[in-house]
Amino acid sequence: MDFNPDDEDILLTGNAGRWVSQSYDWMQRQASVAAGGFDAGVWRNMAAMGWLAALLDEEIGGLGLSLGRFVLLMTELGKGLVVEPLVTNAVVCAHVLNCGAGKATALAQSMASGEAVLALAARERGDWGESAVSARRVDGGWRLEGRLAMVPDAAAASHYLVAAEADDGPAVFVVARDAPGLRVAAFGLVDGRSAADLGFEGVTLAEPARLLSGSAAQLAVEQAVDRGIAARLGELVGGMEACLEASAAHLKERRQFGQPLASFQALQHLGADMFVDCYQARSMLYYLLSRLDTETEAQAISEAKLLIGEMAGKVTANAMQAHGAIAFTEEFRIGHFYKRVLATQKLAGDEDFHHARLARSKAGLPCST
Amino acid sequence: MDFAEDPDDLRFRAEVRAFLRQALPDALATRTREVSFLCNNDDVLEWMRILAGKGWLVPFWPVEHGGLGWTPRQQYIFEEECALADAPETNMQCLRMIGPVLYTFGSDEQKARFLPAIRNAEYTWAQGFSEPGAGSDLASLATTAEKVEGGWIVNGQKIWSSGAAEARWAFLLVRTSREARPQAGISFMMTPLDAPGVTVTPIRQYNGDSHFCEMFFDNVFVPDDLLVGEPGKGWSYAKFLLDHERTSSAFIYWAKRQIGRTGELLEAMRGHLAEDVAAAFARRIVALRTLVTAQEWSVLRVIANESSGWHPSAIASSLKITGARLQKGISGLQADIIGVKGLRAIAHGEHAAMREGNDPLWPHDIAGVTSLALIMRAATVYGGSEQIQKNIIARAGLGF
Repeated sequence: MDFNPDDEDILLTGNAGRWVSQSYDWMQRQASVAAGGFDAGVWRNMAAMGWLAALLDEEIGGLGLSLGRFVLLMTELGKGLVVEPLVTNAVVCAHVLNCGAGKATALAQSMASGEAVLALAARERGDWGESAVSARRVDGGWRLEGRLAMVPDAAAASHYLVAAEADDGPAVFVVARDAPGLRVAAFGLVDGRSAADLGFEGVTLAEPARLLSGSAAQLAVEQAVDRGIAARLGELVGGMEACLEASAAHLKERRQFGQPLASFQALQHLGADMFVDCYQARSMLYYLLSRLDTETEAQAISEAKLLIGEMAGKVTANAMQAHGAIAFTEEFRIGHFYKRVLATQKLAGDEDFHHARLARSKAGLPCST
Repeated sequence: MDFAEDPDDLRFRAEVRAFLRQALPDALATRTREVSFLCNNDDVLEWMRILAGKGWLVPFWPVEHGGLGWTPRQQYIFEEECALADAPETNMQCLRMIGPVLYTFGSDEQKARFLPAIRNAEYTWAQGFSEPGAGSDLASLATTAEKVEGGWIVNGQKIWSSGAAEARWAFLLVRTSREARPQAGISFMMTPLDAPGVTVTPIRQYNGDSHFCEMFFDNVFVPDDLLVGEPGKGWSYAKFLLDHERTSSAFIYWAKRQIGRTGELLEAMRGHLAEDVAAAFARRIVALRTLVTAQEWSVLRVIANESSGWHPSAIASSLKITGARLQKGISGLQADIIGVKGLRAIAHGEHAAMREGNDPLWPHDIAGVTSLALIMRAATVYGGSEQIQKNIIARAGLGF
């Protein structure tokens, strides 16, 4: 076992770390939030770094990198609290496109270049209410009806990969933003990303727009969402470590009662608690990396989401406590790490969802053989 | 020991309930249910004026200043019923801070000038205590007041002043001299917020609200008659406030209303939730409600003047700690119950539209819930951090 990063890891993470310092400082990040979770210049930048093409199969114009490397990349980007839909495009939608087996090569290449911006439009795990899209066969193609609430990262998308229930089973359709009958009502999420309610009022598509069908469609979407989680967990680990570093620096610098806050044992222990949780979270992340692209990938993702999510919640909360009142302002970045954890915890299945999924899987129960 | 409820108090509770049913406008209650921390100042003043009209704005003040001589238990019942009815919280800075400081330490002229305006709810006040460099260590505050002919020149900066943008007046702790003991050089002054040299800037919070403000003082003239009491005694007046308010940091009325609201939210969401998920939420509500009960009985002990052997400061700090846990726990559970849709950033200005919109995908029950949970993370920071409260308990309670 080798836990030291290899040259390619270093190249990728080094680039990302430098990119955050130079091209995505706090001012840029807030500008991206103000622009609705998407800055075109930043996006072009990301495309130029090769990140959008990273996980697309080489056959359809991608770099064919492993998800594990991308997760490590995300640990660096996690320090920057990126709001642009990198994970949604480069991980989630890329997986669906890969499963499309060459049916969407043009779209994949367009996404890789940064021209097309995608979002996966599927019913959010754990959501309630009538959030569904049906697809009925019509002459020459399909007709989509329905509503999907709160599709993450949907506001900047030029194309949606829509998970719908067709006459003959589950399916994934490619729908352009300007398709007649498609209504997009955009808004922001508490962590700075965008989302939108999508309304499908008789959106008519030609047959080639159906990218996937049947159980392959269902599986592709499930896997895509799961793999997106893995990337987000890398982001959380990076964010936690940024919070630890910032909190330690703050406690050493800030003085009250004639001494640095770091001289108070209660706060030393608070820092120690953060250290413990960060270390364990990164350990869990490495366990997750070891299981990606194996048959226990889904289970490991659920386990890691539970553990890393919990640790990230504790670390970011402690970081806010360490920084005091300023952590609750919009201008200061610390509180925003907490909000990112909140979003990651609830999206793609909350704790109940992943507990239940693990309980259902035989391997998930500790006593099962 | 006698835990029986006084029959007069039961009658009093019924009287208060009847008054609230008749006098609290529905629109105010509806808007109060959606707030994340502070009600709109107009709503606060509207409610304070309704109470003033009934003579119930300052019932806990000494009778000679407009109080009603209610017992602490009656005051508790009144505040609890107001909270349960979703009445806006009154401006604490007026009623529980500057008011009591003035009727205790103020000159006759100051009492005559300011107390009637407070009793009539003419305007709200803001508190200027904390500074960027003086948070937990408030005594190290650096806003200075230099003596000049007829008054003082104040220079400095205050921060985290709740409601200062809507307030008309502020009371400040300022440094009037440098002493060996920093507390001994602090004075208590008042200023209108439209005085030349005063700038009030709301601070944008990470949950979308902007209740807290910075107040900048650039050569602000404060006349002698706006100094309260004696120079150098300001710290003792601030301490008086702390000793005077032993249970307000327990947030018990908030907790009682909000644990009920949590149950209401669960019922609103129940149709959408799997049975086992709803059952798990119900269990969490039970656990928190038990803690609310314990908190309530802790508060009752204090207001009944139980002759416990413990130092009152240690008890007050203990209530603050358990109160903050309830604030975080209850608001966090509410955010969990509304699920993933709680991630939507909903500005306060959108609440009315959500209420009227009747969109089944966006029930307006969720308005304000996440914003509240986010700012409640600060419950262990404001009013004295959890670490400071534990220090007080260790020192005053346990003699460490």
